[in-house]
Amino acid sequence: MPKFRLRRRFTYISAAILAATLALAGCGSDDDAGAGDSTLVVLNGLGGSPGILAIYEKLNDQFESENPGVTVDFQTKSFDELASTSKLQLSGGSPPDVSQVNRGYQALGAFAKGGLLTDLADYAKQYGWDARRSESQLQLNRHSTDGKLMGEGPLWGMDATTAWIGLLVNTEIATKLGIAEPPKTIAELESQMQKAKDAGEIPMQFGTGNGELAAWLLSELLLAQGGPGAVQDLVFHKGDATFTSPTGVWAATTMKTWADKGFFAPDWTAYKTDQVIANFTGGKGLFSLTSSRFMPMKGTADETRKFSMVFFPSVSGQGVAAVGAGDIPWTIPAKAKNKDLAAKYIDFVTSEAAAAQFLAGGAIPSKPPAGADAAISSANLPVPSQEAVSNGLKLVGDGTPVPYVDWGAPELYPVISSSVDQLLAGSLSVDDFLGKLQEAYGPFVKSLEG
Amino acid sequence: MASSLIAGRPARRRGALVGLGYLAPALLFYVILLLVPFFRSVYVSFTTWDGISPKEWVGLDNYRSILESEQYRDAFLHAFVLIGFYAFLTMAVALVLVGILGSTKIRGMVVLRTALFLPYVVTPVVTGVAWRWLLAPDGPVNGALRAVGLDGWARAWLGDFAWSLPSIGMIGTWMLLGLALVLLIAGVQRIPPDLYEAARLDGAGAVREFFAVTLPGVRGEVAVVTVLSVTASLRNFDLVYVTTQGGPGTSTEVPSYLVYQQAFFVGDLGLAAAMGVLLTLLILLLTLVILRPWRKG
Repeated sequence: MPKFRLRRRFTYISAAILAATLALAGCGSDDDAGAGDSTLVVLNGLGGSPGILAIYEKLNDQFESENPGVTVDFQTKSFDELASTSKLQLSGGSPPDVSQVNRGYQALGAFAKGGLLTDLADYAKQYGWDARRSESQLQLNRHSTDGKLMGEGPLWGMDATTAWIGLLVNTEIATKLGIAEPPKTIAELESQMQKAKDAGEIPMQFGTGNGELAAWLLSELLLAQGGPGAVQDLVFHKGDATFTSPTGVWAATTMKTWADKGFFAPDWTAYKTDQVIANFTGGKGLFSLTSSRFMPMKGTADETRKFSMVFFPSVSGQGVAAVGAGDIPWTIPAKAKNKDLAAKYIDFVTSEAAAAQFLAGGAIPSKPPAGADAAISSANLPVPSQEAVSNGLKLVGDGTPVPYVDWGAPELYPVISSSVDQLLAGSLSVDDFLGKLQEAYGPFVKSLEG
Repeated sequence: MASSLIAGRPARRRGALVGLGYLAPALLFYVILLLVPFFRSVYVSFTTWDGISPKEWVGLDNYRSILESEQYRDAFLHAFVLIGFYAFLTMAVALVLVGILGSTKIRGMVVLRTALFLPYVVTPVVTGVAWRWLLAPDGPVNGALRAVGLDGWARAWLGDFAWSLPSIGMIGTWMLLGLALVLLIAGVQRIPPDLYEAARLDGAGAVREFFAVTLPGVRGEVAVVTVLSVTASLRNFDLVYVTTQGGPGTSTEVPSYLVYQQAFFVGDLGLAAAMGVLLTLLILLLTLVILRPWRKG
């Protein structure tokens, strides 16, 4: 009996060793795959956008059939997960062939400086990528090789789609309140919010549970008062821009006034972005802020017909501008094994043919394909998605997309996230609030100059 | 005599070598997976490093900026508030329950014990998501309060500047209570019944019995539970990440959440490492303090 048991254990152990050996052998054979049969590992951070992912699935199939022998291994992560792991992935020995990389001095900038990415200049020339995007779009994917400047230097990535931040309107509530047109100026927005407040409706569905909406509102208000330059200068560190400028004071004061007047949804400190959207979709609130990447809205076409996505108003009411940028750019890691094929893939997903498919699926391509208007109407999208796409195309076509202000320094996002709460709740004055932002921003800008 | 000493030494040394041989595999993993990374973190904490570029030696600068920053000091303060909930409240409730449960025979003890232990088995992320829903402004907790006429008490628990930290503390208490109870009940069951009998013969009431017999009988378990819960409250990351992400404002920021933020989003690994080292030292210190009275006994 004991002997038998011993023998059985021996069998288990040898089986385990055999399995481990086979697994190791399997790993080995991956590395020396022939050139004819190659796997292109593509890493994305689109986990939160199922609509866009579905379009990429289709594009990947097409890429595979156009390139026989190539298999696309499309690996999906959430945006947060991508942002927190890409440093390790890119610096490791076997990075993906193509990877989305988050923007900002601490991400794209640091990777460019660390030599972890491939300069795309040659591929851009070969495939004519410069003609596919406006310079203001390409700018966001440029960093100097010392990591000090954003918006200048080599091109490190190409984005396929775009997202922008806009105002959501519940037209049913608006009609009830006698509001015929969405607000064009901040003054109109304020009077409409007051109207809603007086009628017992929630003027602005809002939440700072995760800081995203706080950063959007701050960016949009800086843009509304100071124009695109005000936000661009802060992000690109131009013209000695500061948060304590008159534009900054105006933005913070406006936010605070709205909170004091009770324009924000009750309990706004408790809601994260997803809950804010759910509350608004549930009919609570005349307005809300949203990103076009959250389209389509939940519900049937009939249920969402009453919602509208328009540009956030400005003080002057002139010009087309919004906070918006290309989606996380596609890059080629410096240690990627299959760079030419990787470039071919990036070329494919940023091509006009791909743009038409993004459009048909309700996503906003970074450059409108020919006959975009016809494509939108034939795509049969629900009303808010249709507006998100057509306004988004207007923004990249005739308007000025403006970067998110929190890209200006690594510590800005967490600081905006915590101190907007404190400003609106009254525990920080406007000056102290702006002082905190400047503290997260100024020394960082200085450290790059030094 | 002399010859036996000479013969004994190599034998003993061989014994020690064999012992070390048995220890080697575990020791190897411990050194590679724990000690090496730890000392590397200590080294990183004296540098400024973005994770890619070469490290730059800055001495104690990181530690200085942590100790000088009100935000970071507050984070440690919040951790101590959480200790109050995780360790002391949990222990107080568990001891009261053990005092009641311990001396009575309960049918279906296995089922009860399993039910009590469940919150500890469930991952904190799931616990956090569930409680985020329970404590939402329109959630069941507020619903129940409104149903019994306590409208004034209903609030956005996790979004309230004053209540968010205590709310996280309560969630932690809920999570750890099962563990504390199961350990303490096991301890109580090990106490010989004649001790209770003797106490009763001497005329001890239930309260006296608890302090004279039960409590001294489970002090080992009390120490274990305290160490576990203090550690849990200091390295609390998942609950905060899922429920409040440090907000509203900075009212629920705790050291381990700031480590994560600095390391993975801000990209200042030196500062994050310094924070981690401080946290480790604090946990070590508290553990020694807690275990001290038991050492002597």
